[in-house]
Amino acid sequence: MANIYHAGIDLGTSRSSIATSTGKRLTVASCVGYCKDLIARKRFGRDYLLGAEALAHRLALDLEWPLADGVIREDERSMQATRLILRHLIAQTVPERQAGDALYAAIGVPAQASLRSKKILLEAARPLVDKLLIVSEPFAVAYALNRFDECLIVDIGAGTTDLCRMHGSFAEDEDQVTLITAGNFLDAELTKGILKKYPEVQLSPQIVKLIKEKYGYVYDVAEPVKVILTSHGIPGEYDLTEILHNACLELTRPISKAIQALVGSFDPDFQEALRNNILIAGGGSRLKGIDRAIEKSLQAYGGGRASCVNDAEFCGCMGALNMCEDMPDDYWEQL
Amino acid sequence: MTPALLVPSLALKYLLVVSAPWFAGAAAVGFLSGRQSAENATRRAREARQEAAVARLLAQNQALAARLEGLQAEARSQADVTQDAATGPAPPPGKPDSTKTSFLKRILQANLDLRDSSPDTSQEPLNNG
Repeated sequence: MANIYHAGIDLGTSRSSIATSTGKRLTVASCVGYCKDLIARKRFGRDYLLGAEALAHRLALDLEWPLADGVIREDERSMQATRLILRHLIAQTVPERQAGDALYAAIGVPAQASLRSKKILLEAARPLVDKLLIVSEPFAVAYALNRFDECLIVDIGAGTTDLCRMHGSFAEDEDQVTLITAGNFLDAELTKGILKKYPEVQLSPQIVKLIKEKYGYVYDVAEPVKVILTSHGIPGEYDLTEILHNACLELTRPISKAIQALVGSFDPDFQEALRNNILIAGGGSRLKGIDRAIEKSLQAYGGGRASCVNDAEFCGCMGALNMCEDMPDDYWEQL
Repeated sequence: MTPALLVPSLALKYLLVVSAPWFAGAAAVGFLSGRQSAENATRRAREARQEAAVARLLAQNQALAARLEGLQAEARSQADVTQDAATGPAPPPGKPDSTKTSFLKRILQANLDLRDSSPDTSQEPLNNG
């Protein structure tokens, strides 16, 4: 008898995650590295490498980040790279899938992704899944947390920050906001800040990302951040405390403004409840003190309370998986 | 030495060597057994008191459990009434959560709309929830 498997997938700009009904979960960097030449192909024995492996051997590869803009780019190469990432995620987490077995999946997209980008995603996933749902990422987070009452989900990814106002019924267009101020913006700010103060320092996107993930903080008091970087190949210790703090604050300001816009346009009877139930998810929620920084920036608007979700990496795809599993069979049949 | 003089001396020796320790031993045994039986009586009385206390606590506990059960039943019935008044009766156990079903229905509809939409007019954002 054929089995039906379910999968919740978060195709992110920087990382993609999957959670499946087999109980397995996996995260990979959303990049594919194609071998630059025959020598590289002979070395790796394959045409391409994925995720962390591709990053580790990037000098011999042409790296492709198919979701660099928050959604799949509209070229065939990006479509193919997205398929490779999806195929890898599925193969690793549903290895028992046989011919004849079905896979029903839900994939998260930014809250205000265009119809076109969703159609491209449908097209990319078509050969890999039998039924597919496309869902808003912050809504998937709300579903994972089982929070449908008055709360505000802030999903800070790499490409986009998605905000969704929940109020016990279906979130409409006016309840959602997508900002391009997200993790990649922070990387750019950080790079700019470091090069302004230390113009001779040698940086790469990976170095900046590592600094951000290891030391990123937004509260006022912190240990000095001193990092070993190179200048003309000579290692040296550089103090990035102030630069990192300012760059991280650049990220929180527009988010707080968007939060206030969603609160301010809400029913006045419930504004306080909304302001006091801000849930921060996504990779950006790992920035130390981001909940307190958002609370602080909301003081000018009447205050608020924010907290970070526990499982930032898998919260979105767990919500998508829960949706798949809760979806009645006759609903699936209609797709 | 005449036998008349020996008799009191022997009797005295007998009294000192045989009778006195026997009497002393008997007195000690009597004292100890008396003390033991007094202790036994005290212990039995204490055990009886403890058993009575346990029985009393058990009875109190049963009475409290019965009262708690009554209060819980009362609270449940009041909550049911409040919920019925505010939102209608709660779904029976095992039935899917109606909030989730409603969300899922809207998500399904958004996805059906997505499939039906024309690719050429698709720059507008579509809300999937």
